[in-house]
Amino acid sequence: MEKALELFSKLITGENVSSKENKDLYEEYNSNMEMYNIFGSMIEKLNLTLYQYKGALYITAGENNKVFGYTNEELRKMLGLKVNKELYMCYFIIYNIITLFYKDSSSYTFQEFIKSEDVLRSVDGTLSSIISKLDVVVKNELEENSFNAIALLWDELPLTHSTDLSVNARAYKSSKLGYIKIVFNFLKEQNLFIEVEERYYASGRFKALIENYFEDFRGRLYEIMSEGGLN
Amino acid sequence: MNKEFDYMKEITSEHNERMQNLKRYYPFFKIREISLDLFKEGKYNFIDMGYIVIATLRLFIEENNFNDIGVSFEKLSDFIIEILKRDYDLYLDETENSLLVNYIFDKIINDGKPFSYNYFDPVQRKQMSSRIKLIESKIEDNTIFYYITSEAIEFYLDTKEIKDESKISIQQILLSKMIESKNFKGGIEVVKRINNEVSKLMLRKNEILNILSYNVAEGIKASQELFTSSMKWFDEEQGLFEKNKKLIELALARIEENESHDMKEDFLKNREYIYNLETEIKRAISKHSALLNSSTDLKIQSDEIIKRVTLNKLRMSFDFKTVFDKTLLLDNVELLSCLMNPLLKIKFTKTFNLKNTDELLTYRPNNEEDIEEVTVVEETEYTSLDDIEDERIAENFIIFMNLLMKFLMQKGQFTLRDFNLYLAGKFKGDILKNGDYYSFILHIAQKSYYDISKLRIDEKTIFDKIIIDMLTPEKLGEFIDLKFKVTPIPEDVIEISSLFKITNIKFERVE
Repeated sequence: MEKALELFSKLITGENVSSKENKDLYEEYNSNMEMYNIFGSMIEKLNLTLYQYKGALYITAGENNKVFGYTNEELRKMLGLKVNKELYMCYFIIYNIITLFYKDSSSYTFQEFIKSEDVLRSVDGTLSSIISKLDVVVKNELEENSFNAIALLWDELPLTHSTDLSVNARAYKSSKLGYIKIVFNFLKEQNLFIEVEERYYASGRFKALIENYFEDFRGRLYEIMSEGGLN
Repeated sequence: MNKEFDYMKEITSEHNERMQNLKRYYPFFKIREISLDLFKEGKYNFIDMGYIVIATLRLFIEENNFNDIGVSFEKLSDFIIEILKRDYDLYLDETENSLLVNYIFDKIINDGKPFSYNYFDPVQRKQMSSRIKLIESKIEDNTIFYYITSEAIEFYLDTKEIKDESKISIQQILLSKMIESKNFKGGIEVVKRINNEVSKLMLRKNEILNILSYNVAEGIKASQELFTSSMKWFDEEQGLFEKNKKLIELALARIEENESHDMKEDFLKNREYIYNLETEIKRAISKHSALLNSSTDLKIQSDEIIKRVTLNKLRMSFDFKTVFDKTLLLDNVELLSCLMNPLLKIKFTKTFNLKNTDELLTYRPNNEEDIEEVTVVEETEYTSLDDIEDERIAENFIIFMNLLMKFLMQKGQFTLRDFNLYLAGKFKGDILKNGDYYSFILHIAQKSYYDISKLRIDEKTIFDKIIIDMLTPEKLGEFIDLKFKVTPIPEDVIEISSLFKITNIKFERVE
């Protein structure tokens, strides 16, 4: 029980538990049946999901977890954004980042790393068809969660705040590259990406969750989609 | 300077051509401007003449170029009345209608006169008047039929209105007209435009492939659009290319036959135009076939992508694209949050452990701050390698200058060759290998006249400054009256070594 709690406290505070870090706990989890069971029922009750991926343990609150998940307001604060529309823009960028690595949960594209420009191209490409239809949109009638609203937001942003592309973009929502930087900073902080010289490598945590969570909860997620709402 | 000359030349020499190109837009704006203010006290001035003109031109292209028939006044009248009814809800009686249509038509054909477009030609330095007609009339079987002019077609095409149809076909029709009217030069321009159009379609094809890689549904839509709007004209276009090629060959044969009738100069010029036209059209044909091939490629590639996507849908994995397409369908970006939320860390609010309050209460910081001793360290001055070198050069210059002036006092005049020997005697032959010596010679040769007494007032070079600095009061007394001339003797070259030569210089003391 004690060990299970210890493991829980490590994981919940974001510490790594793997065959390299917190090794004893990792081995205990794999060898001690009792601890394994206690821990399993603990996280199940808390509506959390645990994944073991390439010699490490990862925990997730899943989507719409009232206790361990974040509200829009909390996320906006974390990203330094004011309105939901901006947050949705970030969701959209994250979606594009995911698809640069995974077309679906089982087909990793073997992309080693990505750069801001790749994301920029992808977002531009995905939004291009929406932007091309924007001429006829009446601005004030847009809902903040509509694709037109974020396409408009994106279209009106300059590429970068500086004319010099060699200057690294600042994480500031006044330009396209700035938005991408905000998102990457956030993903780094969430241990999902590792940055080396403006190259972003997907972390083990990112791969573990993408390859497992979405496959397991496929049905539930599709259901949300067809209901058209989160509640 | 050269550049400025070039663009000035361009401004004048190309102005005429540019005005000729602008000319075809002129009637449109002219007609628009007059509008209907003067007709019946502006009763119908809400009718946009610009719109009527464009619509009318389209009618003419349809009838003249596609159906190969002239437009009678009745036909045109019906067309305009139809527009007025449909777009302006203007239902008038027959007389009023006929008055209005007549007025409008008179404006479009400018009362039968060409529109005159005036401008200044900087080459001829004259006011030029260029003429252009949108519509011209021909009498056939005792009836007047109206035809669109090639300038009007060009104007219409420039406005890019005919998006859905093959621009290539229209350009080709224009080309046929031009070949028939022996306007070969204009024909070359048209073929060039066809080439541009083909290149544009090629680019569009690549864009579509790019879209396909991001969004299959959009990509398919775009490629279908491309196929229906542009590619379906391929057969027709190829037929037209063949026809035009034959026309060119015919024109060439005809011109060879008539060689004796035409003026020699005209014949040569026309033949050159036709040859150029032939080359251009051959290029267009090969580009066109390349486009045909690449569009077949596009078809194959898009089919493959569609197959892959369909297969993926059947698999058991979670497809991010499907989710995205659904959110797009529901137009709710917020749904994407369920892709992001599971990836986030557990929300964990940090709290303060009550046990720590004890530590807080028992914490005793130092009552006094530790004293830090301040030590004063003297600054060290560093002499850089450059400083050392500068000092050495100045010192050597002073030595050389001293000797030079002494030698001048002694001899009154001498050449560099003499001075070299004098120095070699004093310092041994090594002096001629000293770099500072030549730098000294270079510096002294910068001025042709030195007056030591006025040097301080008339300081011009760095070298002057060095001399001023070296002249201590006692030395100044010795040399103050010295004035001398430095004259190079370019015809006499002193060879120091096989690699190194220096021009001889004459030093001459003057009073």
